[in-house]
Amino acid sequence: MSEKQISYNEAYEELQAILEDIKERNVDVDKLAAKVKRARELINLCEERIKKAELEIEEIVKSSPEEEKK
Amino acid sequence: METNNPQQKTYTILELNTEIKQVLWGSFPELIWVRGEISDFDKNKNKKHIYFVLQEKNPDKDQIISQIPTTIFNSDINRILKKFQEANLGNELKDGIEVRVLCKLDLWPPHGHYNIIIKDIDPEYTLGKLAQSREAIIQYLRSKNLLDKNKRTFLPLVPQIVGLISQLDSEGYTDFISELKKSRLYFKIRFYNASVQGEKVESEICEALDYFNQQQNVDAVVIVRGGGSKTDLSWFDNKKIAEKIAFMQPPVITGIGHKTDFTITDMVAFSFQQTPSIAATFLIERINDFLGRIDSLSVEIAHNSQNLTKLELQNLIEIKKQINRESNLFLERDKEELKENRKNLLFYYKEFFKNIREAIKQYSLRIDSSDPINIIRLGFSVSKISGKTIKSIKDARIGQNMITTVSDGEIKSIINR
Repeated sequence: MSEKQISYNEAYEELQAILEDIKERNVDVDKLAAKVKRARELINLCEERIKKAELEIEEIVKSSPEEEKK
Repeated sequence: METNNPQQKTYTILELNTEIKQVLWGSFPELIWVRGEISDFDKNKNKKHIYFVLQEKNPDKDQIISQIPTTIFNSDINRILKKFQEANLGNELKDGIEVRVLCKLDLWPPHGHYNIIIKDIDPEYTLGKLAQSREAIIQYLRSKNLLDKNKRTFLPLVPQIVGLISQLDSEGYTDFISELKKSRLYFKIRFYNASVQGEKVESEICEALDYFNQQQNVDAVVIVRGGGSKTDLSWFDNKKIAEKIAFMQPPVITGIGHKTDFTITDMVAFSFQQTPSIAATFLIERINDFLGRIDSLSVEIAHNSQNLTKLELQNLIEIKKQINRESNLFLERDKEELKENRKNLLFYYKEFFKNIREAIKQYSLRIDSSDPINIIRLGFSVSKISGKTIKSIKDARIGQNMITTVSDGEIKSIINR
């Protein structure tokens, strides 16, 4: 992932950790709402980035690959 | 010169060439099988007859050690090509292919060049050669542990940024892109144009692979091309490409053939997909799988947090109940204890006084029995002389007055003897 944002991997792991905490009842009830909110945020973030419904095509110019930047 | 005799037969060039032709035909009266590698074939586009070269290389040095001009006459072309096609070896003969051909040795006197004229071809031989060189490459890769190297790379959960290697606007390219578009998911394609058939395959694909490996800005590299014949695909049975793929950082996904084709490039790739569209589907499915997974995580989180709240509530109710029950029990126990204590206390009091009474009675009895009056009443008496109790006859003298106490009074007497 080139963008400086949470990677899908990290998001996925965090979601799993949240679920695990809740399952194991490692969460105070007063912090539960915050955890659930964070999970919702992560899911929205991922879905937003995935479901953009577009295709970007960038052609790499063979003769000068060094000039091609991101 | 000894043999310089003007009368001796002197050939014209044509005569000589014609006679050599006769000698050749005499020595090779039948058709013969010849094997070699096709070269210089590409010049023959749109010509009536086909002229090219069959050559032999030193297998170790990739160096030509012998060659012979070769012709296929127009009348034989279709039959020979058809045989080749039926073996799934492609629509055309081309450079680099090893063939075994049935031919006639010939010499065309006007030019004096001898050549071979191909009459038939053995597709099995070409198939075998392809398999052999393929097998050699596989052995090599296996010995270097390169067959699975790219398979051990990691394909991100959401492979959105794709390094695409293909030929611009080729069937494979179009199929791949349109399949991705259909998914309505976001993809960023970094496209590197490269030949997917012909002699440039090796250099251009390697160049493209190098590019993506150096840039390190893609989640996966995908190589696609439309399906082709076996010789077309043999460009992908290539050692250099396979080695490059093995050492790639990102995973490499292939979609370079159709259902039955499986090249060495496919073999070393992270994932081999049969067609460009299927390669696209593979990426789409990976992403949809991720979406599904976070979806079910979301459901599970909601479900579990609901459970957790419910449980906490139940716990509270349970604790409340317990407190009530325990405190009641405590009070109950206290009351009981008090009652018991009182009963015990009463009993002890009774016992205590009873004992005391008994003891007093015993004492009074004992005191009574030791009172001298009681003894006197039985008939005993106490005698005193001058207030002193007489316990022996020595205590008494004649003439002394003695007082004797009995139960109901005193008797006064005088001792007379």
